[in-house]
Amino acid sequence: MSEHATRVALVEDHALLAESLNLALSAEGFATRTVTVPPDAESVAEMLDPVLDHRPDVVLLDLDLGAAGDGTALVRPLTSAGSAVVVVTGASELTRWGKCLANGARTVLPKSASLDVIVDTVRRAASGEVVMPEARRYELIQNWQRQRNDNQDMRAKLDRLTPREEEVLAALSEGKRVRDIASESFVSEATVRTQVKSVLAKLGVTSQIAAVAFARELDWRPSG
Amino acid sequence: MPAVAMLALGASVLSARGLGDMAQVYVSLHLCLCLVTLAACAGLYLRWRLTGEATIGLLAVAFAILALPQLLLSLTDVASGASDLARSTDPLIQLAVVLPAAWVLGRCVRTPPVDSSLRPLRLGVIGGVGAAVAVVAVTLATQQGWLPPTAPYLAGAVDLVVAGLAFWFAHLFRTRAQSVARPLTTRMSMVFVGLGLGALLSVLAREWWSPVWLLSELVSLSAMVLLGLLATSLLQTVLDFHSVRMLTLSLRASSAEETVRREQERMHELRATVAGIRSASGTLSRYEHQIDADRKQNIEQMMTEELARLERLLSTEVDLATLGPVMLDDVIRPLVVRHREQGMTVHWRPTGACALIRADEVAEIVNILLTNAYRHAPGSPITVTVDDLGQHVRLTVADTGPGVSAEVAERLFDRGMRSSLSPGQGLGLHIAQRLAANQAGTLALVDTPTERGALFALTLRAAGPVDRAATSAWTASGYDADE
Repeated sequence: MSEHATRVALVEDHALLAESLNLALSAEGFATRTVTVPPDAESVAEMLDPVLDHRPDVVLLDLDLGAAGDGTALVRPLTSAGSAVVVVTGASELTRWGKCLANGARTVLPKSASLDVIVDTVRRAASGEVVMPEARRYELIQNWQRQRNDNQDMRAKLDRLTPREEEVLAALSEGKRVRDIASESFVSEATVRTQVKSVLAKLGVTSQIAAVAFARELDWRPSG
Repeated sequence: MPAVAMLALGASVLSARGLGDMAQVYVSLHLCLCLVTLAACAGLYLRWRLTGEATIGLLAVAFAILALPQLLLSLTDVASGASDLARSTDPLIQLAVVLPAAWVLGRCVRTPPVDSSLRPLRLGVIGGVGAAVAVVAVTLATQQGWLPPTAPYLAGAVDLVVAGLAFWFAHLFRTRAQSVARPLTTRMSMVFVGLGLGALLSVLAREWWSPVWLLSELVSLSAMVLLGLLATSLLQTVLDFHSVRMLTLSLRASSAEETVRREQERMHELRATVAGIRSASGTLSRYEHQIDADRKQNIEQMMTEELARLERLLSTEVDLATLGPVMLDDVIRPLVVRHREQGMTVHWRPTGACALIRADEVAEIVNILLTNAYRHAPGSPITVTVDDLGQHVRLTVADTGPGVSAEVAERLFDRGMRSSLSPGQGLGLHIAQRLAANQAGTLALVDTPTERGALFALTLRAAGPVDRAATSAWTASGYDADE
């Protein structure tokens, strides 16, 4: 045990869970502080200073932080500041888990993990022990990287669109018909059809619906 | 298509002037006619690919059988630079072409709306090539002197038979072909009347360039051009219909995506709430003595609130709070206009009735019902009525088609339910009924034993008369129906 009580910061959107974890960890002898999400928070970056003020040895970090957004972005700065980050999340997407681990989180626990497991993990993380089996960690990070590469391929395809093709794809995504697009942009339907064909060819899909789904999957917006 | 026909005609006349031979005009003209007919076949075939209407598929086959041998004859004429009038009016040649085509046309008037075993492309190519081979065989046999020269009266008799068949088909199409859209039956019978007249006139005209002969050629030509125009417009209608369908599907897909996203959020909330309650209850039981009274009371209070929240999250009650008063006319009008544009006859009168609904979802239901009527009772007029029943508003969509058989009616709204004749996926009515339930409404098939056709009734919660301005915001476009 170090000379000072282990400091734990709780970044948790959900008040009851935060309060009960705070009580349990305090009862276990940790100097615990809950950092609440301000209701008017615009980005998770606003929460970094309140957390670091506590100089936590361990941060229990939730990922879905309401108005503030995605807590994933906090993992790297907290890790760089020397805290051991333990993610406790209700999110089931394993790629998000992988991203947190790749950014330096010590482990990821589901919110359904028992109190014992959480307290034990905090204790071991504070003393620098390995809290997640290496194989599992490697697998999750690989999984995330694979998806990121896939997304990069798709993104590269979208980047090849000309500004006009981007406009056409955006209009299709809004459910507009070729005829509507043509009349809005004062060109002939045949011209728009040619542009649509070129979009389909560049994205490597065969239908307008598939092109729209492609753009939507990446949450794509025209760059113009 | 008309532009192409004009261009081809112009080109043929120009080329003939260059050669200075009127026989060339005749030859080129016939070549153009064959090409127009084949283009019409292609148009009809494409329409069949998109709709699966058996009548359309068989029409394509019949005209392919008529056009392919003619094309062969025209091409040899072009190659030889002259035409042999006697040959192209040879009764044996005509019979070789007309009889198989007539057989297909006869089937086409009687066929059920959808025939999944139909392969028009294969049938058209086989029939057309077969007729062409027969034509070549007859021509060769005549040239070799194996067949006696045809008596003119025989040629006249065959022309009379052809004319009779054409008029008979014209009559059948007016009266019997109810399995396809109505514009088709009228205009198709005009095509046959044209062909019959052409054949009749050619009985009287046995020599080139006589006025009657010219008239007969002109009438046949007009019939073929009309066929071409008809095929184009049939194709255009179905393409428009498909683009509307595409739009509807993409709207439905995005609304489904939205539902999935909402459900995922709800699941996430549920998990987080349960995790909080479980963690709090664990903390309370394990550290009971280390927690001071204030915090204990606080956490117990929070647990009670969270349990209530859990209950709300799990309730499956229709969220009536999101229903708003909407003028039904505003929902129905754009749909009626759109379906009228597709060539459907829709009777509807605005009533000013208002219902507590989500406008986009009710629009989806009505669209499904109209599309359904169009698909199962093509050509039949559709009547949309809205009745104010006090507490409820009843919207009905009725057609005068074949109706719904008792065994299908039982499972009509089941997921994936479709009759063997239906080209659909069997999802539409299932979705429509679910959407109706979403706004505390019902959708049912009404039994109409005395009348023909299917009648669907959508019952919705009534809203008192509302301010027009408050509801008009939803009306997306400036559609104005001729009511």
